[in-house]
Amino acid sequence: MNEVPPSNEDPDDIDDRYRRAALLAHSRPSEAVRRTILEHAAKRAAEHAAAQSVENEPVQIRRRTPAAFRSRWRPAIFGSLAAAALAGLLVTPLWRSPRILPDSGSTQTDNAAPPAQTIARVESPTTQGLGAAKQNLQPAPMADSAARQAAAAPRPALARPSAVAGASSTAPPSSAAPPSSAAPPSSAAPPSSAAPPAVATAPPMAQAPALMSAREMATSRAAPARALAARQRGDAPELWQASESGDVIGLRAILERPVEIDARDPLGRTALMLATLHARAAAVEALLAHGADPNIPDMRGKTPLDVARAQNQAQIVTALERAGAR
Amino acid sequence: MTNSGDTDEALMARFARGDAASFEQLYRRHEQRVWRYLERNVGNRATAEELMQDVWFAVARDARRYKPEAKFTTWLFTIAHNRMIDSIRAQRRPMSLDALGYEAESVIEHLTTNPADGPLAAADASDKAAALMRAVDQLPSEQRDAFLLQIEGDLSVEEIAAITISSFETVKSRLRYARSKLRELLQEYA
Repeated sequence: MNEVPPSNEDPDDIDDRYRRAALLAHSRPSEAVRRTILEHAAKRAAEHAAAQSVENEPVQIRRRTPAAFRSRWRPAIFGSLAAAALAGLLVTPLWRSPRILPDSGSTQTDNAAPPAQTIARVESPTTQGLGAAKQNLQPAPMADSAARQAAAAPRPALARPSAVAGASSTAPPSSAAPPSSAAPPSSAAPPSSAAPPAVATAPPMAQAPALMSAREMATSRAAPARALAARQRGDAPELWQASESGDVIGLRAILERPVEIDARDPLGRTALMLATLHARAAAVEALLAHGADPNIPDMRGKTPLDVARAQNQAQIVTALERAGAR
Repeated sequence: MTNSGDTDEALMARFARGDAASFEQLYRRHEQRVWRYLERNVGNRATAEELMQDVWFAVARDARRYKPEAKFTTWLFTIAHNRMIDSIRAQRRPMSLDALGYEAESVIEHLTTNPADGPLAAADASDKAAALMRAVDQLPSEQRDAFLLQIEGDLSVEEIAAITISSFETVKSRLRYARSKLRELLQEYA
C-alpha cells in the first residue's frame, strides 16, 4: 500500500537502523498517561453505547409495545378474574343462604352441592386459601388426583433413573469438565498476560542508587541485568533520562533533591556521560555546576571528555576542561 | 470480545458502539508509534505526554464520526500531526528535538533479551542508537515530520502530502533529503 521510500541509494538501511534504534530506546508514555487515556475511553464508550441505544430507540419502542402491553395486561386480566371469583365465592353463599335457611333440611343438602361445584369450577386455578369449607366440599377429586399422581410416579421414576444414570455417567464429565478447564485460560489468561508489561514499566522508586565500579560492570554479565536495574532504581533513572533528553528544568529539579549525581547506569555511564553522549551542553553545565565528577569513565574506559572531543562538541569540551576533566 | 486479528477499522467500529475493550486493543497496538512520533517531534517528554492524551482523547471522542473507508492510521496520525503543530505554534518555539526519551531501563531489557551480546556490545549499540536519534533531531522540521510520519505512521507519500498539506513531489523530496541527511550525519559520527 505504501510507496517505496523515494531514494535511489539503499533506502531501507536508514529505516532499518531507525527501527532497531527505536526498539532499543523503547521509550513510552508513563503509566499514568496510559491509565488516563483508557479511563477516558471507557467513559466515552459508555456515552457511545448510550448514543447508539438512543439511535435504535424507535425500533425498540415498536418492538416493545406489544410485549409490554401483553406483559402488563395478562396479569391484570387474570388478577381481576381471580378477584371476581373470590368475590363470587364469598358473596354467592350469602345470597343463597337466606333462601336456603327458611327451607327444610332436605333442600339444604340439595342446595349445598351446586355452590360447591361452581366454586370448584371458577376459582380452582387461582384461589388456594379458601379454607376448610371448600376442601370439605370436594375431598374426593383431590384424593383421586393425588392417588393418580402417586400411582403414575413410579413409572417415570423407573424410566428416568436409567436415563439420568446414563447421562450422569457420560455427559457430565464431558460437558462439565471442559468449560471449567477451558474457561479460565480464555478469560483470565489474556488480562494477566496483558497487565504485567504495563505494570512492569513503572519502576519502583524506593531504593537508593548504588555506584558500580567498572569491574562490577565487567562481571555483571553473569548477574541478571534486571537485578542490577533493581539496585540502581531510585532517582537515578530520572537523572539519567533528564540528562539524556537535555531537560534542564527537570534535571535541576532532580538535583535539588538528595541524589547520587555520579550514579552509573547499567552500561557504566554517569549522567554527565549521557548528557555528553547526547550533546546536551546545558545539561552538562548543570551537572558540573552541581558537582558531577567529569573524570569517571564508562565501562570502555572512555571519559566524557573523550566522547566530547570525538564528537567535536567544542562547548562541552570547554565546560569539561574548565571543571578539571582530563 | 475482541480478537487480536481484528482490523483497526473493525475495532473502531466496535468502540463507536460502546465496546471499551476494542479501544484498549487499538491503543496498545499503536501506542508506541504515536508516542515516538510525538516525542521526537516536540522534543519534550511532558509536552509529548500532554499531546498523547489529546490525540487519544480525540480518537475516543470522535469515534462515531470516523468513517471506516479511511485507513485508521492515516486518521490517527493526522490528528497527531495537527495536535503537534498546534502545540508548537502555541509554544512559539522551533520544531526541534532536545529529548530522546531513551531509557536506560530499556538497555537492560535489551541485554537480557540478547544474552549473546555483552555489555560492551550493548554500549556500542546504544551509542549508535543515540547517534541516529541525534541525527533525527538535527533534521529540518518538515523533513523530520515527513520521515516520522512515514516510518512510524507507515503512511504513503500521498497520505503524508494530504496530512501536511503539501504536494506529492514536495513530500517525496523531503523524504529523500531526510534519508540523505541522516546517512551523512551517521557517517560523520562514525
